[in-house]
Amino acid sequence: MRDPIGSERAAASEALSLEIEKANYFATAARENWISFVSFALFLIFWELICRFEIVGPYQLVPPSEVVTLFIDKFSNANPDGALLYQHAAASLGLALAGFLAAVVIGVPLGLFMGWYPAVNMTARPLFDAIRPIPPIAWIPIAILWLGIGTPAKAFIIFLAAFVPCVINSYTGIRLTNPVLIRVARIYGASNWETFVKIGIPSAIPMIFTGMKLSLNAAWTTLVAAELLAASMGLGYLIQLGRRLARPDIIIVGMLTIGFLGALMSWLLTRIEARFASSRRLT
Amino acid sequence: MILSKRGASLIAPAASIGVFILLWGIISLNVSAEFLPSPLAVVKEALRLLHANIGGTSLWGHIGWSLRRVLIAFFLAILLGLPLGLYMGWNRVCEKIVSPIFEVLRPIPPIAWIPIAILWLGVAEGSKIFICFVGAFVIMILNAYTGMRYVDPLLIDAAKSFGANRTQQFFNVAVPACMPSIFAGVQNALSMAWMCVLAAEMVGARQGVGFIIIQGMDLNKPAMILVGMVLIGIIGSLLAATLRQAEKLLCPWRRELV
Amino acid sequence: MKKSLISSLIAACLGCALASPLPADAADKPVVRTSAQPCLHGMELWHAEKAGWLKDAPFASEFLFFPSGAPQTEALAADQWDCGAMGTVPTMMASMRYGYKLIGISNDESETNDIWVRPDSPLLKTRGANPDYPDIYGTPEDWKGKKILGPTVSTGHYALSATLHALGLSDKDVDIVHMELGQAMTAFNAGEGDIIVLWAPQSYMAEARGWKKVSSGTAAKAIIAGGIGVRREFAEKHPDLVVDWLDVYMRGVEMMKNDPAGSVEPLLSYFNDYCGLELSRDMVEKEFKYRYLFDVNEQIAAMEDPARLPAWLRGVADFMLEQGRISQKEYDRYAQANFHIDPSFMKKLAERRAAAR
Repeated sequence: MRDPIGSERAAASEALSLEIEKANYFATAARENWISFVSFALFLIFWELICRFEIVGPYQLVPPSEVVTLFIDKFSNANPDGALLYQHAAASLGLALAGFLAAVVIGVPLGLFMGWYPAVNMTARPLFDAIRPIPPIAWIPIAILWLGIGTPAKAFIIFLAAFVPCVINSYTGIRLTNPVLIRVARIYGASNWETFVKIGIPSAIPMIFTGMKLSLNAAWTTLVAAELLAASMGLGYLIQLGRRLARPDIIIVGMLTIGFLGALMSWLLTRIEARFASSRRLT
Repeated sequence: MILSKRGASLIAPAASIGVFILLWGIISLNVSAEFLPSPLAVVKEALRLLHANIGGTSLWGHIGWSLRRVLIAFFLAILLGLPLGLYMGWNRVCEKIVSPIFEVLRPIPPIAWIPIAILWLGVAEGSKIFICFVGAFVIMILNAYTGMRYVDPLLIDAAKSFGANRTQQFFNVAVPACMPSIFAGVQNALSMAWMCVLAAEMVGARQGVGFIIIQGMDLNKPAMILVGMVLIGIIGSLLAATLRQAEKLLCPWRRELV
Repeated sequence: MKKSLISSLIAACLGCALASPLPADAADKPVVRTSAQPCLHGMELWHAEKAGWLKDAPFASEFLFFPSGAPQTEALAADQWDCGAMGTVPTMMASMRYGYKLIGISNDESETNDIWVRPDSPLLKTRGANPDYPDIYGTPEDWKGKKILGPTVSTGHYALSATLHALGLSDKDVDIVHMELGQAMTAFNAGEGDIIVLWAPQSYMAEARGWKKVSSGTAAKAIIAGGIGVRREFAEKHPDLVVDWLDVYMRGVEMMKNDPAGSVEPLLSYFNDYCGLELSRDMVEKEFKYRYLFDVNEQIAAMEDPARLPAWLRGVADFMLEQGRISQKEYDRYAQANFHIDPSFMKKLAERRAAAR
């Protein structure tokens, strides 16, 4: 059997070298961005054409031109769903962020403690493993009973999804702490708590950041489920109303707004992370 | 020493679950059954459902239907997502072509696909499998792609200097090297597919574990909902455990970190 | 080993696909795909199959089950079913968007789209604040600012809006929170909200919990007719099959109309054994008390009288227009097409039955 601590160390150094490799890769890749634009444009043209030539039925799919028209129209026209598109987006963003923040505040410390103290791990792990596979939608009735129908209940649904990657990544991050550093701290007489705070947590930060990124993704993708609980505004609500009104164009606008905002958030976080990681490397 | 450690690692989880159930029981005694049914009520409900038919199907039947949907979606996700993800990681042009579309479609949750799934595939099994597939497919692509991107370039260079052509580099070096990541992806894809089963069964199913929860919601029976949730939780854990065992058999060189 | 892994995956995949049950479609009769909801108006074809009515019918039925109108309409757009019954709002949406033909009235749902409060609600103190609407409880002041739970853009919402109108209020005077029925009941039960919008069979569960009815479609003089309909393309291609199907459907309606006592058992079985609901016998008995059913001649009369079915649909369309859910253009087109009402199939059925006699 391999020495588990040795393998963890190897993994950590491997991760660092990959980080550098990744930076090189992105620099060269940036020059080929035009391929992405062309491919996206071709995708839209293809989509438009299969609708125009009725290769798919007119009820089955709406051409992108109509989606764009409706998208623009939704910035000034509240009908038929009762709110403007950015109002829906703002309501959803607020909700997703509330759930996400709760997940970070609770999930990160829990993961860190689980990774550092075996006793916490043994107590919390079984419960965590038991709750993890339950889909957030299943919690809707429970959330209503416990928290009502306002923002707390909806944020709770999002929290349940967002909290899992926070815990897992902080746990893994702290387990990857270089044992040499820990031993050095111990030799200099640091208590377990001091070692945890001064050595463990800082070394886990990159992983925690990855966890937060995944967690924000999870929060955003759980939005529709949370708005199933009760809503009078939000992108999930927009999709629901599109269904009730038999308006596939509204449904697709809702879906794509979720998609674009989600992509935008991942992009922003990657940017922040890149800056953060490079400043770390310099020190 | 080792024995006592192993003993502790068995007793501690059991104790923590035990304490959790005990706490649940105590809290449920003090609030109404509609607010939180007691563990005993949930067990009773489970026993009742074991013998009664829900919507004309037995409990085992419901589990079977859900498993069938999830497994088909899971295998489809592997079949399509794995090659695509690997190739995206291998070939930059492929990545550039696929990624803008993928990046936009990725954050759209499976549940938001329900209306489109019905419009395209109807309400039979197809749309339910599609919903689970969407969830698993995204995870599979992401893992295969990251795995491939993270393959040590030294390995590829070594293969190159030994005269391996592109195909050989891909199949004999790169793919085996990202096996751990692929397996992590396969595991996550299966859990994701299973977690989507409730959303999938919201399409309008009369069978499935999700149907039990939906029915519990419609009938306002918290105990029935909890039975469904516990069932989903247990089966989800069992699926993950099965896959871990399979991985140990298929990939004995890999040692799990977490 | 890699190859064996892949081939075993494919084998497992195929195994799963093959294990799927094949549709039981033995006879070579044409298949009419019937769609239904867990509601009284879904039971007819299900019961027909059980009771053996389809043995002599010139078609085989495939029964499709939908939890609510939205997926049912989506499936209609995807060519998934041919004939069926839905509530007024989905029927209207399907007609507007997909040319769905309204060929009959499944039942009068005005009484079963209802509005409930808890027994301690201040609304219960006053009855008939507007003497024209004696069955509506509460004064306009009581209603103002109340939090109301229920599905928006539905017949229930229509009944609610009509109630508010009757009291001189509008949707803006109250706080409506959109929730599906199951969720709304859970929340209302937990003390959320002041008023809840329901429909049968959920309203029977509300009654069993001791909640009080403060209004309904009937009380607010909003007539809500459940629709029987057919996909346009199917109606154009197989008009005779539609009449055959309608014959069987109407046999179910007439059974319930003429022998409610004898119909309790089949309906109870549909709700509990097929739909997985848990209704009691007395709840199902109420179904026949509250829902008016139309026989073939009444159907034709109601469809052809501009003051009845067309007027009822206009009421719902006005509501949708006023809420901004549909545009003026859509409204005009819908009204011009006489709300996509097509009594010809029901008439043909009447002729056929008269000839047989």
